[in-house]
Amino acid sequence: MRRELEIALRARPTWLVAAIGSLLVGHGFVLALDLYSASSRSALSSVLQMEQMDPLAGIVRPTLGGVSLALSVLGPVIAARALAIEKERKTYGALCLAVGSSTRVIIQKALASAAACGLLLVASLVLFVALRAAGGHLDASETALALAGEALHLGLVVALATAAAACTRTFAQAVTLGILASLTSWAIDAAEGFAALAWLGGASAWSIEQRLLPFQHGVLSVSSVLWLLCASAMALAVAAIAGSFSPASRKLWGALAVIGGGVLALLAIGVEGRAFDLSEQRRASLPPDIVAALRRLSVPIAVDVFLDRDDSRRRQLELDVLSKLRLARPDIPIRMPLDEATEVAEGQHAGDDAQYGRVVAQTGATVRETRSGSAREIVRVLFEAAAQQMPAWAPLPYPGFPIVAMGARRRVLVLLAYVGLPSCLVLIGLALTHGRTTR
Amino acid sequence: MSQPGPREENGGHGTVNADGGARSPGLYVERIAVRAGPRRIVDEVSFRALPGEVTAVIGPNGAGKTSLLDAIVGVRSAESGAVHVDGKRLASFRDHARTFSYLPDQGEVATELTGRTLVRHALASATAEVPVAELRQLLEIAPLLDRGAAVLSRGERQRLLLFCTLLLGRRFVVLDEPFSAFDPLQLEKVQLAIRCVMATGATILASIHQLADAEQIAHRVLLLAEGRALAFGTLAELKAEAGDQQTTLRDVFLVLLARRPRAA
Repeated sequence: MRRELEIALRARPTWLVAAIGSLLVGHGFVLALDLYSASSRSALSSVLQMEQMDPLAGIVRPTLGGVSLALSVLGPVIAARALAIEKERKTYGALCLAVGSSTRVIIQKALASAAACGLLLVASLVLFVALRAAGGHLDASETALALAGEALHLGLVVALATAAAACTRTFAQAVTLGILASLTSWAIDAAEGFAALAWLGGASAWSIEQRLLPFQHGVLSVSSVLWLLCASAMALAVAAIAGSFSPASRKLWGALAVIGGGVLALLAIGVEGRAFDLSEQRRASLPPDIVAALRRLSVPIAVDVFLDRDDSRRRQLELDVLSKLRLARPDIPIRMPLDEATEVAEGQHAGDDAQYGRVVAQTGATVRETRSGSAREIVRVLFEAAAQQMPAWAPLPYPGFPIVAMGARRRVLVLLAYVGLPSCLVLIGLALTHGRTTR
Repeated sequence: MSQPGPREENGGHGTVNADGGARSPGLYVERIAVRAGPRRIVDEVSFRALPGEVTAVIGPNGAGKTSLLDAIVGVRSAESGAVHVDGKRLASFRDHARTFSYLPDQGEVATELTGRTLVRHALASATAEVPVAELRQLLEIAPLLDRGAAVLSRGERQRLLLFCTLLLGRRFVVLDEPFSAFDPLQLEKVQLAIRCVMATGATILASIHQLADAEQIAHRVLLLAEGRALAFGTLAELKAEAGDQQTTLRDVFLVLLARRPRAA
């Protein structure tokens, strides 16, 4: 393992890529900080506005967006290298013979790659600590959860890149294949706003970014955790098969069987609805009294949302009331009937236009509906359909945490993001690799 | 030692026993065939390598030497055939890994590592003791230990790789072109190092391009051409097969190659 760690961490490309990644993350952080500061300045005069100042949404999420980008585009360069260069150097077979098993070599390579890719997370961690030190507020548990989501993302990127390296012969081929896998997930996300990719809209369940969303909202989703772990395990199993020395046909069938089984497992995991709100003041959930009352409802309830997949109102509902409803009652089926409609002509909605935009709550024969996007209104309709009285809407108080980073405080953070971190990574890389080029 | 027909290849070459050699001590390679796309690059090659001996695989470029060695050690899947060790057929990669250490042709040292890390890794993977001190001295490893592999010369890298391969302590050592990077002075010491491991009872199988080197170190020689075994035996046996007037392995090589039946 020490050999593999040294190959991963004493390589200049690793540190160079980590430095570029830290620039991406740092840029995201500085942009977010400036925007948040500007909003904070105007919010300071109003309590209501201050309550909206949420550092998780305003700073942590955009910064981790940079991490996600770095992992998707730069991660495969680091992650594929450890295994791919053994193949390029023609030492892979001899290494497997020395170690005794190709699977053991693949696992050691993946672990070493994960350690090296971990450098892409360092910048965000340091910047969050610096923000805290500069007087900013970041809740430990929700920030840690958001970082944990990126750590799981890192695991998946490493597993995919290792599989890519196991399936190919050169470093360049492995990196290309690894980045393609990341871009596929991006293409699925882009399907929402890009007509040419609209046909990918139904594949949103396969988007990595979609799986990371709960983490970025302070929600620990069992489904997302299991999905990311299962996808990583599937990719590693494919890597182990492709990296073995069995006949090509046996490897092909083995890999297909693993992928088939993995896809079924991922589909099964997708329906798991349990999740836990770890956000500060449980603001990712409905008010506690409402949650308790919803959980007491014994009648079977279903919710139908008549909105197209690319409708921004639906995205807003998904992020807000529907996710809160799922947190409270994971067993409530939330259906999107228009997704099942086919051949929807441009500018037309399946079914009657007059029906479009409704949110319908059903309990047995009782049906209630609303066109409002307000969480309070939709929950009211739900209770009305169940013929129950809705408790008072009393969310836990969240004071909001405005941060105005100006003057020296801002300069220090900006210098750290754009100069300090990248330079540190480059210097550490140079220090670690200097000895190997000295005769 | 006549030119072997297809059925004679197993038993027709020198030391291979009547049972085909499968139950004999040492390494018995039985009708190994390797395919690359539509073409068979190793065509049912059989031979036996004995403990305490060096068996050299020689042949012109593209004869299939590297593919044959890859298939024997298990890092390339064979289309057919088997590898037996002391009468037991190797069934899995784990069996191969327990049996062989392998120095690949043109294998590169990991340039991120120092010699010490490479040696430490080899020692950690060793399955039996080898005369480490003697090997270290013969291959002049001490000056290489604290230097980065990136700055080593080709000969130094090859010495380091060979040292790590021999350190693994496997009973069967397979070397693909082990001498290609050395000057005559170094070559002598490298050959001594190989003999040192051989003296412990190890079986050495080496593909050797330079026939003079093969002549110096090999007890037996397998001549490959176009993926087929043209001849196998001791140097004396091959000389006899080629004709008594042939005095060197190079002459034998040229005569036997000229006699081979050409593929259509």
